[in-house]
Amino acid sequence: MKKVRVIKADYLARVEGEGAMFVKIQDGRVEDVKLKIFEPPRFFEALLQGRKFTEAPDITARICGICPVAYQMSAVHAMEQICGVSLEEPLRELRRLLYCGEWIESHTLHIYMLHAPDFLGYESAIHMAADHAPVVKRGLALKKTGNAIVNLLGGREIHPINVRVGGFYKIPSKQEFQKLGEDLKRARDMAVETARWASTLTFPQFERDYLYVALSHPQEYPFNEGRLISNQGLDLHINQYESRFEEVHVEHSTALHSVFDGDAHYFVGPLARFNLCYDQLSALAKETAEDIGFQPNCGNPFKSILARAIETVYACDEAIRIIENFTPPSAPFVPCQPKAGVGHGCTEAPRGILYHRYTLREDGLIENAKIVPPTSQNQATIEKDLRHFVAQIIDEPDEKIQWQCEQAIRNYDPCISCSTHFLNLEIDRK
Amino acid sequence: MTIIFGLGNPNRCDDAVGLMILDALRAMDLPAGVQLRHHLGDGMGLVNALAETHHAIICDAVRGGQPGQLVTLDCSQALLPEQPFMSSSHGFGLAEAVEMARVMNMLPPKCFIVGVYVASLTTGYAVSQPVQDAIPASVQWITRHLDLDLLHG
Repeated sequence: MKKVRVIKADYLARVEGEGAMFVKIQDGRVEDVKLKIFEPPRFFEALLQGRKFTEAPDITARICGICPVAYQMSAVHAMEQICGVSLEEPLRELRRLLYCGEWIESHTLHIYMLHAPDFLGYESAIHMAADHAPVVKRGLALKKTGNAIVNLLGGREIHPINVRVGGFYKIPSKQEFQKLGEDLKRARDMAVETARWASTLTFPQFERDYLYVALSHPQEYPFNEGRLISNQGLDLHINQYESRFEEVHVEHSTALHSVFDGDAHYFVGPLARFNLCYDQLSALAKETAEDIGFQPNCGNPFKSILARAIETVYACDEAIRIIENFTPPSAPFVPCQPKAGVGHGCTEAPRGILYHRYTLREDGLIENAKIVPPTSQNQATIEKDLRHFVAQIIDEPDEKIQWQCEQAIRNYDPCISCSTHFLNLEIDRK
Repeated sequence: MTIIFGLGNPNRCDDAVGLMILDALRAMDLPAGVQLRHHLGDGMGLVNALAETHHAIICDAVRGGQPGQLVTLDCSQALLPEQPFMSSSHGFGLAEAVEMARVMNMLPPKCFIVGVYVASLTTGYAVSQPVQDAIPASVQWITRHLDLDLLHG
C-alpha cells in the first residue's frame, strides 16, 4: 500500500500578501511542491493604460507599502529613457539616498520581525521580543532611521509623494540632511551590531547551485542603474531584458513565474547582489562581512538574512556618504517632454530586480505597461528549494517540515501583493 | 503629552474613519499637550511612536461588528485580538504593535483604542453612512476621556 503524507499551511504568516504552500510526499519521496499564490490579480498594468506618463511613479508606488521607492525608481527611469533625459549629480545621488532609506526599512523589518523568529524558534516577533527585548529594540531604532530618510526625501514614510519624472518636487535643506546624518551614524553602528548578531544564528545545512541575477555597475553597489549580469556569464542591457527573461503562467498561482532562456530558474535579491557585486560594497560593509565570516559565492539561501544585514550596513554607510557630500541641485527636477516610444527601467528593489517597460504615445499617455516584480522572478526557485529541502529533511515530523519550509520561503522575503500584482502551507504525505 | 493617532488608508472607503476622527478633533479646542498624528500603518513605526508618550489614544477601523458601532478598548486591561484591525504591513499591524510594545515595556501607561466597526473596505473614497454617523460619538468619547484625564490625572 502506498504511503502518502500531505503537509500544508493554508495561510503563511510573516509574508506580504496571501498565499499557501502544498507539499506531497509519496513513499518517502517528494512528489509535488506548490507555492500557491491566490491573492487576486491586481491588474496594475492595465490600470496604467491611458494615464499620463507623469502619473506612473505615484500609481506604481501603490503596488507595495514596503518597496514603493523601487516602483517609483523603475518607473521614472523608464519614462526618462523615453524622454531622453538623464539626471546628473546631485539629483542622481538623492535617488540613491532614497533607495538607502527603503533598503534600511525593508531589510530591518524582514530581519527582525519576519525571519529572526524562525531561526530562534518563536511563533512571532512578539513572542521573540518578550525574550529578546534589547535585540528587537535595536531593530526598531534602525528601522526608524530608514523611515526618517524616506519621510524627509520622499515626503512621507509609506507611499512617498516627492518623486517625479525628472527628479523630485522639493529638495530638503542641507540642515535637514545634516540632522539625518547624525542619526545615520548611530544607525550604522546598529547595522554592524545586527550583522554580528545575525551571524550567531544557526543556519540549516542546505546549498544549491543557483543562477544569480542582479544589476551591476562598475563604480556602485546597484540601486538604480547597471547592466544585468549573472554568475553564469550574462551581461545584458536592461532594454534587452525581455529577450532572455519571460513570464509564464502556472495554474496554481495568480502571479506569473519568470524563467530565463526558456526554462531556467534564477535567484534575485540580497544574496544575488552580495555574491555578484561584493566588490562594490563599502569598505565598512566588506569589513563587517569578513568579520562575521560571510563571503561571496554563498549558496545557502538561509544566509540571505546575512546578506540583508550587510546591505543594511552598506545602505547606512552610503546614505552618510551622500549626505556628507550633498550640494543642493540648481533645480529639484529636470523638465521632461514626452514623445512616442518605449522605455525600460530596472532597479534593485530590496527583494531583487524590478523591471518596468512602458510604451508612450506622442501625447504622453501610456499605451501599455509591463511590470515584473522580484517575487515572481524568485517563485520557481523557491519551489525548487522546497523540493530539494524537503527531500533533505523528509524523515522529520510534519510539524518540523512545515516550520522549516516556511523559513525557507522567507529566505526570499516574498512580497505576494507585489507579485500578483502569497502563503498557506499544505504537505500531502502518502 | 497625549498623542492621538489616526490610523487608516483614505483610499479604502471606511478604513479612513481613524483619519476622519482625527480631522474632526483638529477643528476642536483640545487641552494643551495633546498632539494629533496621522499614522499610515507601519507597525514597527507605531511601536516607536507609542514609546514617545505616556498617554495614547489610537483611532482605527475595526472589522466584525455592526457598521458604525463604536468600540473602545483599554490596552492596559486586555490583550488585543489580532484579526479585527485593518492597518498592517507584512502582517504587522495595530494589534501586533501594541502587543510588541507591551512585552517590551514600551506601552504607554495609558493607552486606549477607539474603533469603529466598518461596512466596506473596498478601494474608493466613499465612507458608508453608518461609519460617518459614528464620528461625532467617537469624538465625544475622546474629548470626555481627555476631560476626565485632566480632572483625575
